Amino acid sequence: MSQIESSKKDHIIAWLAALAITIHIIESALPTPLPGVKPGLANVVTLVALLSWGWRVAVWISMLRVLVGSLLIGTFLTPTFVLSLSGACCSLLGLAIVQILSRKLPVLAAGPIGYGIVSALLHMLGQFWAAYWLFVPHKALFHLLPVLMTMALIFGMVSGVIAARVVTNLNSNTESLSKILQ
Amino acid sequence: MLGQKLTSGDRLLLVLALIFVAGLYVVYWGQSVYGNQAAIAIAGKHWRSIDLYQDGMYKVQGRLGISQLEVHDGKIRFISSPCDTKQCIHQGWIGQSGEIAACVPNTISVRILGPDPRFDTMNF
Repeated sequence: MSQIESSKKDHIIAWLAALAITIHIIESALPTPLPGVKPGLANVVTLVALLSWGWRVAVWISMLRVLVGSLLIGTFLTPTFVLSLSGACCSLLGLAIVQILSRKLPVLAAGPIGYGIVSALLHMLGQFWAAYWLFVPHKALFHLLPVLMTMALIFGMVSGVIAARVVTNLNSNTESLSKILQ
Repeated sequence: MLGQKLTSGDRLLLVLALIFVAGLYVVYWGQSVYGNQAAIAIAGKHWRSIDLYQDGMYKVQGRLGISQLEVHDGKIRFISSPCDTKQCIHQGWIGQSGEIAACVPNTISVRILGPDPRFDTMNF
């Protein structure tokens, strides 16, 4: 029986996904002032993946985070899972669009902070729409939207800044990184 | 904190995001939220609409007895009710359009009608 060979890219994805999942689980233990408001630090890993290895790797990491995170926390196939998935998908779509636009108009190319803002806002929007259409179809829910989006904007910028720092550090440490990712 | 450079694309996205979020506040928080009238229903059927800007007391006959409602300064509340747990009274004042107070045992419900009753149905 032949051995499955894993590529270097597989290792990168696995390593980053494990990191994102860990952050996600730790963050889920933190109390939230409002339902659905989280710092979203696992998104930093997605952003770093996007900036350093491209959108497809970012998709892998995001989807693995949502799936494995929900399995480990115990929310797989619950409404929470659906919200998480919609947020992640929306976020990834937005990142793809911004990346395509950045390539077409290099003058207005987005940087880490821009990607951070887009991913956070769309993540919150995706979750909100899923919550509204599937679980709480009450118009009073929209009363929460401005606050949710404000928090998303703030945390999006924060995670963008963090992602930018990580990428800078990664770039200056490529040698040790290659050793890890053999 | 912003030790990293903001690219011009970032600036554009930030401006768009700020406009968008500010717009959300305007749309969803801006419209007048306080209601002018309260609709009182007995056993599900509409009984009377009362003006919230005319202070007064109202006695409403329900299934168990008479519940008293007080209107003051654009708000209304249950003052007394013949029910066991007095949940209706504990709810206190309601005044925002769409808000509901009810004495379920006595089958009396009060709903605030607003100038733009956006939040007036529950779909579950």
